[in-house]
Amino acid sequence: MGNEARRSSYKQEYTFGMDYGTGDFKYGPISCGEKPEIIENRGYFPDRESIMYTTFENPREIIVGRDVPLYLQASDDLSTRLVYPMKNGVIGKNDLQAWSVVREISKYGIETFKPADSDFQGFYLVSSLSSVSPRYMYEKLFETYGEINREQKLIKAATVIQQPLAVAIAHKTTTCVVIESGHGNTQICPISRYPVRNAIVAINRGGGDSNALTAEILKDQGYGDLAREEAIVRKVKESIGLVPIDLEKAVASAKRNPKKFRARFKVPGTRVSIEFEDNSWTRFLIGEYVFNPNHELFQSYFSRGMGRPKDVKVGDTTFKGTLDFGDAVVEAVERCPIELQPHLYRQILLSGGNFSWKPPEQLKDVATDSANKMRILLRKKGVTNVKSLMTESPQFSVWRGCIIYGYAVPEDYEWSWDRMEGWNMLGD
Amino acid sequence: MQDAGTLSKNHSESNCLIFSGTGVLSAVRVLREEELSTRNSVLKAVLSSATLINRVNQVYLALPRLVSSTIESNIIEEYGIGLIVYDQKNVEEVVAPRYFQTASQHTIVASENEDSHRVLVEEIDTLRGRLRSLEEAVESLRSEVEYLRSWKPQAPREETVTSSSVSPRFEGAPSFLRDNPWIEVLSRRGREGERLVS
Repeated sequence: MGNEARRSSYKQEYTFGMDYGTGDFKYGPISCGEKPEIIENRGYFPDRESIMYTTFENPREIIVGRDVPLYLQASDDLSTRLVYPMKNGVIGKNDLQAWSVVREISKYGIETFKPADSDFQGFYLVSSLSSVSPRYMYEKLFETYGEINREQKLIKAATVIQQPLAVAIAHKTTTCVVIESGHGNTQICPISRYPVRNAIVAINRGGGDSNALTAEILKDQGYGDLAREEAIVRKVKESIGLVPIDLEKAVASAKRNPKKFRARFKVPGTRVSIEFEDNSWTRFLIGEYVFNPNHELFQSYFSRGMGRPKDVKVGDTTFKGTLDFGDAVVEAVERCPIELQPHLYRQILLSGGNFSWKPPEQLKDVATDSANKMRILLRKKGVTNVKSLMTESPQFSVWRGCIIYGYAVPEDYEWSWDRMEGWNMLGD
Repeated sequence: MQDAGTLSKNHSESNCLIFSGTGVLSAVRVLREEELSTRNSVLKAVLSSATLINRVNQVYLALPRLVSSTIESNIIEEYGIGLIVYDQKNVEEVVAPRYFQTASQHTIVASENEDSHRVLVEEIDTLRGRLRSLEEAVESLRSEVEYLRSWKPQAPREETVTSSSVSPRFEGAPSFLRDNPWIEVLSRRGREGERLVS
């Protein structure tokens, strides 16, 4: 076997993927098969005075992985000691705590799978960032991997790819628009064998915003105490929220026949039960808000103090606050060459937990799912040749895309800051 | 009475028999011969039978034959009360009663009308929703047909998995690696004149 073939064979064997999600860190080499390992994307900084810290001979400065719960103490100030670095997809350049968690969690992930093989020269590491991550995040990641390698030779080469590209790769679609919607924001990214970087549209609206609206609705119904518990608000949203085919018609139908749209959510492990009957029409506000927050029905919430999503600039990217998803897709596609546009509209991939809406069978005359909602929004803008679908296994799409990328891209394709692609050779 | 019904066990009127059958409730106020010695017994029997109207569907007054001639049957008939005349040997219906709808039956009918109306409105809403879905499906199909009509054959796509150097070599390679056009696309990174779409 020639040198090139040998190197290619080695890379295909030792490809390693890492997806730094908002809540979870998905990691593992190609040998993991269909699913990666998953731990929470967080790190804990223990109190140096605590017994747990002083008990061990070599106490760790940062705890990550499955040991974190062992160190948590009731008296701790969790808001400062328990750090979720990727809460909004972007880490501040000078947020040393967050970057140290990223280093520790990356090292944890790679060390878990380090082979005992003496011929092991390090993994071909592929990690993934949001398509709107500023350049310094790529720089900091490479710097972090270099630091890990100085302690222990674990990485032969590293690269970072954009999450929408990873999703498209995992979905086996070379020409598409990926809409990635998570907790804090939404990215619309046209892909045509490469991400069309100048066409990316970012929206400052995600699952967290529909959580905020759900909390306001709960307060209006007299559940003010429950509205303060973020985990419960999210569960209520997921349980009773509905995406309307047409908001005004859906609300009118629910007001005419509230019993049909009645919903009940029982808080797990308690006797507390949240009832939606007379106000069952508000279920449609929760689903609509994700896609389009501009209807006048939302005005009363804004006027009573709920924050309206604002335009925000992060690095070179402006995140639009109230742009509806239909307008956002049209804006992104129309920045691409004209010949490409029909092909892009015909493959719109929805990815991310914010799109997991399933209408009950008996309400399918007024409620719908995310893929169909996108078709409806685009039809209103005059775009009719649309094929929209959810990605399979949205939880693992990005990791899978990383593995495929690492497996296939030649090892001599060097990193370029113009292309923002290629291998950064750390092992040499 | 034409149809035999069942004797209800719940009748509480004295000298009053209640029959139920085929959805009709009938009451028979019987004036017994021994009551005839009481003054105004016939008048009392007539008036007490009148109070049963609207509580049951049919009301009968049963009189001994020897006093039946004291009652003008057409007056009884005018008020919808049936008249039965009896003796030792025979029981005879002389006047058929009018059918009265009871108060509870009125309520049930009105409620049933409201329910029917609501069901109809709901069915219309459901049908509207289905019609809308069908219209959307037709429009989508129309767009597909227009697109297919305008489609021109293109050069063979390059993104097919042909290179053996990048075919999955693991037994049981994950599904996301198999038949993935990106394998070919990515394997040519840096091998061709790249044209970034920007």
